[in-house]
Amino acid sequence: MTAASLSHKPATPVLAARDLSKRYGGIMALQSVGLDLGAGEIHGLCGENGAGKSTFIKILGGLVRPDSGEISVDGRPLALGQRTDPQLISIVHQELAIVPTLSVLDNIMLGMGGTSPFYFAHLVRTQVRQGLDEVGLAHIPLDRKASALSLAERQLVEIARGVARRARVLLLDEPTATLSDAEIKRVFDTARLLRDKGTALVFVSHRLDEVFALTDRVTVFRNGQHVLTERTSDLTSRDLVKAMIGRDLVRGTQKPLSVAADRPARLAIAGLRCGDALKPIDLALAPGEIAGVVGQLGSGADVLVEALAGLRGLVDGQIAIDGRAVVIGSVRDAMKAGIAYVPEDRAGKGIFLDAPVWMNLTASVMGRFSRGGVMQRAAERERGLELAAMFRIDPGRLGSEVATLSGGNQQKVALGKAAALTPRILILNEPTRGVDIGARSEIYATLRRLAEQGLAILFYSTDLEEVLELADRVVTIFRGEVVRSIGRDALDGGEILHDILRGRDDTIVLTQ
Amino acid sequence: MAEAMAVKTTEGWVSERLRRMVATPHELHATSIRGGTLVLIIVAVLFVPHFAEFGNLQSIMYSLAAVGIGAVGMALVTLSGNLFMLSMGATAAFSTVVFASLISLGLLPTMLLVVAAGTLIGLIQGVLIGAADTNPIITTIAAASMITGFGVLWTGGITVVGHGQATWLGFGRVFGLIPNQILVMLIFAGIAGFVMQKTRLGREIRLIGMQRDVARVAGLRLIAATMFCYGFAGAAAALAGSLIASSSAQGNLTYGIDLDFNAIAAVLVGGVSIRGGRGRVGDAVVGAMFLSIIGNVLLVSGVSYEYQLVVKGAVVLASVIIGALLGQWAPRLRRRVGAAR
Repeated sequence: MTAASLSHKPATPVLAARDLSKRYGGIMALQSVGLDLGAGEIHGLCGENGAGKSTFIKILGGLVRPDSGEISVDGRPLALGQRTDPQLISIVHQELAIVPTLSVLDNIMLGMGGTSPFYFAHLVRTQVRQGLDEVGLAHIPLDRKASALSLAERQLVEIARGVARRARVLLLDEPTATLSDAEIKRVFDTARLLRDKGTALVFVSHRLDEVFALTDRVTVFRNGQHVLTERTSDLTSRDLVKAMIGRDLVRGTQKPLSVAADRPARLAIAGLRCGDALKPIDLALAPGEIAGVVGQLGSGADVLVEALAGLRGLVDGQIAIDGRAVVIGSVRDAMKAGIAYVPEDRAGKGIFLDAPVWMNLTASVMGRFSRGGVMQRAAERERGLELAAMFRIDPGRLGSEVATLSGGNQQKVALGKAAALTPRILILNEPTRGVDIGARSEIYATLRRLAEQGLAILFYSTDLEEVLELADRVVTIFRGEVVRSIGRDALDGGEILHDILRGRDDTIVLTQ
Repeated sequence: MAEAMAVKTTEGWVSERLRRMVATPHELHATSIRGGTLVLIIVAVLFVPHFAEFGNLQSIMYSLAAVGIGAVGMALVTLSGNLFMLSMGATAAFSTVVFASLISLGLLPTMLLVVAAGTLIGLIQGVLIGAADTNPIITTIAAASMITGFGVLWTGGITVVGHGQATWLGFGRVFGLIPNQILVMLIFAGIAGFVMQKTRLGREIRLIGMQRDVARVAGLRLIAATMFCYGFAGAAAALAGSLIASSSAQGNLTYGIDLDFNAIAAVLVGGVSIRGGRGRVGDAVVGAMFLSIIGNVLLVSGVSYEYQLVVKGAVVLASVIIGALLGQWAPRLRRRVGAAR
C-alpha cells in the first residue's frame, strides 16, 4: 500500500493520501501523488511554485475535488471535494483568514461547529486559554481586537485556531513567511509540543533551513509529481534543492548579451523605498537587458516592480530613465515615462476577459487611435494585426473574447497590450504564470527579440527555472534589500535560492 | 495574414454576426428580447382588438418616449459598472417644475436650461462616486432626497403652471405620424449609442464597467468616465422631465417620479448586464418598448392599473431570472458554437 519510495513506514498512518490526481484544462496539477503521515511526526512538504503543493493542500481541505485518489484519516476515508471536518484536518493557510473587527478569541472560534446554535464566548474561553497555554501560545491576548495585531501576531492567531481545534492533522502552509526569527522560534516550539502530543503535522515551506530544523521527514513535489520522501536527516540541503528544481536543469539557450559597463543606463533607481516593504534600493538596467528580481513572498521584490509601474503611489527615492529624472505616482505617470507593466493576476488585473482580443491590445493606447474622440478602427485593426504577429496570436481570433483563449494566448494578449505602448522599459510580474510550456518558449523568444531591439525588461518571478531561462542578470532581494546582482555567466539556481532564503547571512552552506 | 482578415466572405460575416448574437449571456438575452418584442407586436396586431388603431399606436409612442430617454441614461450608468442611478425620478420630477417655471422664455432655451441643470445635478453625483469613491446606490438615493427637498422648498409642493408654448414638444408630430417626442428620443439614443460604441470615452466606460481593476492598471480615465455617465444620465432625466411637462405645460414633483423604476426595468428587460460593460444603449430602448407595449396591451384589454403593475413587476422578475439562467447556460452554448467553428 505504501509508496515504494518511502524509506520509513509509519506503523499506523494518521493521514494516508493515495494516488491523488487533478487536471486543470490541459495541465496536470497533480499526477497520482501520495503521502503517509504517522502520529507524532512533522513532515516537510517542499516544491517550487507550480509543483502542486497548493492543489494538494486544497484537496486535503476539501476545497478541490481530485479526479482520482483517496484520503483517509485514522483509517476512515474522507468524502473528497467536501469541506473537511477541521477536527480531522485543520489547515493554516498562507493567506490570512482573520476578521479584523472580531476579538482574538472570536477569531479562534470561527468555524468551530459544535451542536449549539448559540455561541457564548465565556464558555469556551477557559478551554481555549488552556489549550493555547499548553502549546506555548500563552502570550496571545484573547480579548484584543484582531485589527490591533501585527501581521506576525495575526499569523500566530491563525496557527492558534488550528491548535484550538485539536485536529488529528495540522497543516501549516508557509506559516513563517511574514514572521521574525523570535516568532518563528515560537511557532517551532508550538509545532514540537503538538507533535509530542501525537498530532501529525505537515509543514510547507520554501525556507530550507526551517525544513531541516523542524521536520522529521520531507516530501518533494515537482511539476505535479511526487519526487521523493526521505528522512530529513538523510538529506543534505543540496539534495533537497536538486530534487526541487530538477537535476537536468537546462540553462537558457539564448546567448547572453554582453552589457558594456559604460553604456548609459536605461533605468537608474537610487534609494527607492516603499514603506516597510523596501529599504532603500539601488538598481540599474541597461537597454537590451533582461533582468530578473527574485525574492521570497514578503521580500519586497514584487513591491519594487509594482512601485515602478505606478501602482504604489508616490514612493521615496530617485528614478531616472535615459538620464532624465521622472516622478512616478500613478499608472499614467509610469506610462508617460515610458514604462509598461504586465501584472501577475492576468484575469483580475491584466486583461478584459469579456472584451475581444483587438480591444485588449489597444486598451492602453486608445488616445493614439482617436481623432476628435472618435476611434479610428482601421488604424486600430492594423496595429492589432502587428501586435498579434509580434506575439504570435492567431489573427483570426482578434475578434474573439479573450476568455475563450487558452492561458498561454491570454498571456500573449496581456503582453501585447503592454507592448502596444512602445515602452522603453517593460516590467513583468510573473511573466508566464499558468502558461503551458509551448507558449512559454514563444513568449521568451518574443521578449528576447524585443530586448535585442533595445527594450529594457525587468521581471519578477517566483519560478526559478523561468529566472534561469530568461534573465541576463538576477537581482536577489531579501527582506527589502538587494542581496546580490548576479550576471548570466555566474547564474546558479542553488545560489539564488540561498540568497533569497537567507540573505547575506551565511549560515547554511549549500555546496558542501 | 492581413489579407485573411480583410477578405471575408459575406457568408463568413453573417455567421460571425450570428455567433456574436448568442456568444454571451447578455447578447443572447438582448437578441431574445428583440425577437420577443417583434413577436409581441405581431400577436398584438393580430389578436388584440383596437391595438393597431392609429390613436392607440400614438399613445404607445407617447408613453415610450420619456421612459426610453430615461432608460438610455440609466444604461450608461449600468454599463459603467455602477448598477443604477436612483435619483433619476427625482431629477425628472424636479425638471418638470423647472420646465414649467421657465417655459415663458420659449421652448428651446427652456429645454437647454433644464437639461443643463440636470447635467449639473448628475455631474455632482458623478464627482462623489468617481473621485471620492462613494457607494453609487447610497449616493444617488441621498441625492434624490435632496433634489426632492429643494423642489418642495422652491414650489411649496404645488403644481407650477407654465405660461408659454410647449406644443411642439407636447403634441407635435413628424408628417402627422410620429410624435416629436419619439424623434427626440431617437436622436438622444443615437447620440448615446454613438458615444458608447464609437468613441474613446465610450469604450473606456465599457471597459471600466467590465473590469475596474484591469482598467486601472491599463491607465484608463476612471474619474472622467464616471463623471460623464452621471452627467449624461442627469441630462437624460431632465430631458425626460421636459417631455412629461410639455404635454400639459405644468410641473409637479410627482410627475415622472417613477422614472427610476421604469428605466431600471427597461435596462433589465433589455438585457444590459448589471455586472457592467456588457450590453448596448439600444438594448435598453428595446426593453422600454417591450414594457410599453405589454402595458398598452393590458390597458386596451381592459385590465386594471393594479394588475398592470403586477404584470410589469413579473416581467422584470422573469427577465432577471432568465438572465441568471442564461448566465449558467451560455458558457456551454458558447463552447458548442466555438467548437462548431
